[in-house]
Amino acid sequence: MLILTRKKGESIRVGDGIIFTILEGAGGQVKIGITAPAHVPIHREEIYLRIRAENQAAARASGAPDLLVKNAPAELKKLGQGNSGRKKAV
Amino acid sequence: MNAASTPEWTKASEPLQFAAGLPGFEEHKTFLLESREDLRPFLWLRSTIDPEVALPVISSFLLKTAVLPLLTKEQLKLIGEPAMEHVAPYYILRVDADKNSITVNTKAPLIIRTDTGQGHQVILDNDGLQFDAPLADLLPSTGGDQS
Repeated sequence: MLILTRKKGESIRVGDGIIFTILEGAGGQVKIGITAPAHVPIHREEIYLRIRAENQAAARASGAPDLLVKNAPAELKKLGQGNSGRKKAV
Repeated sequence: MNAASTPEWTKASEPLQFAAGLPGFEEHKTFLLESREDLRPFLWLRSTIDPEVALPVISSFLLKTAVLPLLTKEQLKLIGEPAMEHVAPYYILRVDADKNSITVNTKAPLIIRTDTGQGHQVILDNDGLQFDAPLADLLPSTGGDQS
């Protein structure tokens, strides 16, 4: 891991368009401003890891789609028999 | 139900472009929504490069939640700032076969732009939302409000 020391107001540039700026630091916390291209996802690490775990767990159900219907509330199954309420995706 | 009687999967969308992929599946940029008659109202978001990568989803409009009012301008920019009538939000579902339960990730829904097929998984800034909300609690007939 590269370790750099920065003061308040100073920045670190990563690659072409990503800049981290130290805005504030106090009480064991650091406030960081991040500038990055719109297509670059930025997440708090713990949130990213949770979403990744949820997505991977969700994908595991793909091999057994019947499980989903078997466990679905009856009210929802009825909805599926009529209007799905879904907007056309494209 | 035996294999011979299983209904076929049908395409429910044109290819959807997720420029950033999905957390955990970053290399997968293009997906299709697929449906199967016996599985409605659930849909499957299936990767075009690996059909084994497929996530069950449901339209948020079927549940008593509201994604659209919580979307920020920055999040809408990720799919090209569409008019709201062109934004279709979906939740990813997780099935726990051992507990006979289905949970819904209301904290990180998918937003899909219906006129271009651009998609992104966003994180909603609302403390009332959960990564694993029980599906049964989100049905329109049940009390409370997730958003």
